[in-house]
Order: sequence, then C-alpha cells, then structure tokens
Amino acid sequence: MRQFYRLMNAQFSELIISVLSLCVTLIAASWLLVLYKIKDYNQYAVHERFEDIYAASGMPIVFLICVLAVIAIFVKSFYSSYWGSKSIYTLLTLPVKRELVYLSKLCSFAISILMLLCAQLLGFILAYNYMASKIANYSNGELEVTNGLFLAFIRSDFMRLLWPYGFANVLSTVSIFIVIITWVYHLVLCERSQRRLGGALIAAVFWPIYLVVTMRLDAFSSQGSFNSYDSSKLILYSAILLVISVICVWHSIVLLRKGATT
Amino acid sequence: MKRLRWSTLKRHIALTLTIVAAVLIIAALVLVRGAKEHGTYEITHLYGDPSVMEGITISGAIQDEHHRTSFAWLDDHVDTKTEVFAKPQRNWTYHYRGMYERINDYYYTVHLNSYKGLKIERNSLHHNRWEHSEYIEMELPIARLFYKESYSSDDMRRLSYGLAEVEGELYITLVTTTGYEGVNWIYKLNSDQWSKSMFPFESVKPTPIMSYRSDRNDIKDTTQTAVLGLEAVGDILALILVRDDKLVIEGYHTDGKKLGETAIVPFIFEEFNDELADGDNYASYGVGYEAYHDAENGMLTLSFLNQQSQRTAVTVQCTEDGIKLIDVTELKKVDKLLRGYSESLYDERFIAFKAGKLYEAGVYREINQSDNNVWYRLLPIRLLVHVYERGELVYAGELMTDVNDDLVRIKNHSMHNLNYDDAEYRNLFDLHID
Repeated sequence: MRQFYRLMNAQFSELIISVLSLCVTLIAASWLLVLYKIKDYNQYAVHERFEDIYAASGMPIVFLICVLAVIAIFVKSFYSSYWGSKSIYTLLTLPVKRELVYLSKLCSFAISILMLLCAQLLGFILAYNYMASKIANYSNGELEVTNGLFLAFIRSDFMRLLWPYGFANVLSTVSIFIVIITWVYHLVLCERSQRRLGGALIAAVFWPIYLVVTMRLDAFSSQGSFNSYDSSKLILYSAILLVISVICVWHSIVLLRKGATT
Repeated sequence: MKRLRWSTLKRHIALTLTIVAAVLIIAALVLVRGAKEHGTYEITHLYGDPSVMEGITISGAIQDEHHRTSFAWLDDHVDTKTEVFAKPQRNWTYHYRGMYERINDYYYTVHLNSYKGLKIERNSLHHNRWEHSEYIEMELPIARLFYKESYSSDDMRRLSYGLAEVEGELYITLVTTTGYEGVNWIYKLNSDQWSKSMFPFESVKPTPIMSYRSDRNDIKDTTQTAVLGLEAVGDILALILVRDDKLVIEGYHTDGKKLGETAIVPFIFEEFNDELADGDNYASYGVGYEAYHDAENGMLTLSFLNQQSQRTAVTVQCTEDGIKLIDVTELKKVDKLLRGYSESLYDERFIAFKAGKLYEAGVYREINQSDNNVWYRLLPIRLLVHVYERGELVYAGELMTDVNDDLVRIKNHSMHNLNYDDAEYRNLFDLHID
C-alpha cells in the first residue's frame, strides 16, 4: 500500500502542472466566454437563460477539448518514460508488483479527470454568479431569475449529462469516464506491446457511449422509437462499458506482467 | 526550507488534490442542488378575513420539463417538495374536460360509431404522454333516440361527458342536444375486455341500469330535454340534464334506483334554449362544464361559463337521502386586468364547497394592455384564491411564486421569431382544495 501510495504521488506529480493549468484555463474560459457572450446586455436587451448562454458560448466544446488535453497529457507522460530517459526500465525493475505500477498510473489519470470536472463545476457557478451580478446592477428585479443557479443547473442538457440525476444517469456518466480512462491506458499499452487488436475495442467503447449520450440528450423521442429513453437500457449500456473497463484493466495487467510493453 | 516543503507536499500531492477536488465538488453540488426548495412561495392576503382559510389546504404543483415542485398552502404557511426528473417530461396541457374524460390513470374519449353504437377509447398516461390506446366497441340502441337534426361535430366532442366511474365500473349515457327524442339509458359497461385494435372484433353489450325519456310521453307536452353529462359522487350517479329553462340534476343508485332530483331555474344555455333568455335578463351558458367531486361529503360542484366569460358554480349534495341544492354562486371577475382562460384548455382551476363556503383556486393571466396581442401562454401567471359565502366574496388571496421568472427571456424579444416550447416554461398543475 505504501509503495502504491508513493508511486501514485510520483506519477501524479508528473502531470500536476499541466493538469492544474488546464483547470485554471477551464475556469477562466467559463468566465471569459460568458462575459463575452453577455457583453452587450442592458435593460433593453433580450436576456437568454444562463444555460443557453453557457451552451452558446462554446463551453461544452471547450470542456471536451480539455478532456482530450488531459488524455494527451497522460499519453505524453506515458510515452516520455520510453523516450529519452527510458525510465520505464527503472519503473518495471522496481521491487513492486507490476499491478501497482499500472494502478498508480491509472489513479493519477483518474484524479486528473476528477480535477477537470471540479474546474468545470466551479467555472459554471462562477460564470453564473458573474452574469447574475451584472444583471442585478441594472434590472431592478425585473430581469432576474429567483433561484436561477439551481434552474440553470437542472435545465442545462450539458450539465445534466455531467452531473446527472437518477441512478441510471449517474451510473452511465460514471461508466463513461471509467471506460475512457481504462481504455485509453489500455490502448497505449497495446501499442507498446504491439498488440494491434487492442485498437479493435474502439467500436465496443464508442457505440455504447454514443447510445447513452444520444438517449439522454434526446429524452423526448417517443416511446418505442429507436434509442428512446429507457433507464433499463441505460443500465445495460453502463454495464457493457464497465465490463469493457474490467477487460481493459485485466488485459493491461496481463501485458505488464508479461513484460510485453517494454 | 521552501524546497523542503514543496517536496513534502509533492509526496502527498495526489491525495491532497483528490480530497480538495472531491470536497469542492460535493460542496458545490450540495450548494446548487440543495437550493431546490429555495423558490418563492409566499401567501398574500388581498381582501377579507384570512381566517376563512383555516383548516383548508390548497395544493398543487409547479412543473416544467425538468422538475416539479409540489406545494401545499395550509393555514398561513406553504410546504414544498421538489423532484428533479431523471428524464425530461412533457407537461400535460389538457387540464379539463371536453374531448377527454380523465378517470383514474386513463384518459377516455367516446366516439359515435356509425350511429349503431359507441366506441370508447382509453389511453394511459406515461410521462404525461398518451400511450397504449385501447378500445371497446359497444352496441347501444341509439336508434331509440330519434334525432331531429344531425349530430354535429360539436356534440360528438361532448360524448365523453357521458362517462362516469363508480367503484371501478364504468357507466355511460348518451350525451344529446335538445334535437333528440325518445328513450335514453344509463348503461353499465360490464366488460374490461379492452382491445388494442382500433376496430375491435367483438362488440360489447352493456347492461342498462335505468332508462329515461328525453321527452315527455304526452305529445302535447313540448318539454325539450338535453343531456349534458353523467357524474359520479362516491357511489351515486348524477345525471345532468337541461329541461326547457331548467338545469336538472338527478341522482341514481348504481342499480338504477332514483334517489331524487333538484333543479335550478332559470338556467339558460346558449345552444339549447337561448330564446328563453328573455333579453339580457339571464346569462346564457355554454354546454361544456367542469365538475369537481368531493366524494367524502357527497358534494358535486359544477362550473358553467357564460357568454361574458363569467363562471357560475352550482353545488349539490348527493346522498342516499336525495339530491339537495346547496349553493349557486356567481364567481366574480377578479380584476379587469386578469382573466382566466375560457376554453378550459390550459389553465388550472379547482372549486370546492367546504364548511358553508365556496373556495375557488385558479390560475389567471395578467393582461398588459400595452401588449394585448401577446400570445396567451406568454402572459404572466397568478394563482388566486377566492372564497364566497352565500354568493358574496369574503376573502381573496394569492400565492406568490416565481414561475413568471421563466418569461424573462421573452422580455424585449420580438414576438415574430419567437421559438416557443411549452415544456421549457413552468406552469401550475393539479390544483386541489382539501
């Protein structure tokens, strides 16, 4: 346990600066993009709802880019131990189990994603408060929305996707993040050990993710039509994603044990 | 020294940042989601003595596609409970009767089936949408009714007023105009063989529990009778008729035994007996009525709308001892800048007679005279409560809410290119007075 803890901190400290700066960028972007979107607001302007402004400001795309950036940072840190210093040899000759090496890297990746999610949430709240205080300056109560942060939070499709309500929705969001983390790590391990088939999982990963996201966004499609909202289907897709995650973890550990990745 | 500290921190950086991120996320979610009961629900007394509200509960819900806040105004405070939907839900906009009759979990529609019988369609509600249509076709001897004029589409629309439910059994009578003569019946629909097919293979023969004439036997008697509908109060059936210038409510047991009747004179309907209106002396009413049942006290309150968009509430008590007229109250027009919607389609209302007083809770829309052309649905909503005693207004109050904040986005907006979706705006639903 102690070894795992030390390894994880060591792995994570390689990512920390880049991840922290991404988080700061994400929070700043939430504020700046919303600020730009409402720069012309005055008492004669049309006041869109905050969730619509947030979506129109491009923040969902910015968040997606940040997630991709975290993945890139992780992949880069993974490959950096093969290039230059070749620290992978040191890592794999350490007197610790290889599962621990794997898990420590996986955890540091997961913590990076968690921090990004935290930044997204804080950015949303910051941007809302900025907008609310700006409107409060000139509206005399006419253009303000009582309890607006809560309403924006539950009415925004994007926020409901990230911060869902209901067991099936929470499960599906969590499964998506877990599968992305384990699958990306598995993908690079496969590449290193020249297991070409590892890439074939891509369809198995993205098809359920696609189904879950479209089902949850298009909840109005009528009962019985293709991919209409059904919580038991959501649980099924989440289970598929979790099974894929387990397979990824298991196969990654097998590859590491074999020493195939060096 | 500084270096040492950083290296110490670095040894625990993963755990530290995980805890920080987790705490921030939990705190933010608790802060935002915990605000779900922070909406505005305040009682304002507008007129009269608020003590008439003691012991009365006015409940309802404010709902949009994402959440629903149930509220209960009890005495001097309001309790709320908010539920956030896992899946967005459409609002159900048909609050009242007309083409549809809501009984328990089903919406019923009655169709006239090529003059040979009736077809009943029922739809269950699933997330406020109709699902699973089912049908029953009935053979009714409609030919026993001689129609003097053809059945208009307006009358067809009223057919479902003839449906009522007592203890899980459906009863039906044929809603007619004064253009019909002959024998009408109240039937018990002795079948629950609902067919998924729009054209059921077999017709059902319902059991007549009683028959009544839509005219008098004596040819010289020119009484004109129209059937407005059938209501159930507890286990008593109330048949709502128009006879000449009278509104007649007859009470029946489910075995067909007549319990009594009561009449309100004059009660003029625009469609049947407008010529009796005697100039402007009497208001004439539309045939579409709203019914509010209080099975516990055997009370039935019928609300009729007249040509001047004014409502009259008629309350009768239906017990084993007979049918008794309790109260007739003309509901006041509250304010000329407020109006209730007349076509009973959009806005909620509930009327109940309790402890000698008539309580009305209803949704009204603010009419801003400067923009008279604004679409009705985009006018601000107000929930007003009126209490009448012996026909006189004794109390008016309002439940102040923040539903109209949803209209902020259409302020300063050009109405020509407005993209409007009902589900995105909160509205009031399921008003009830207990």
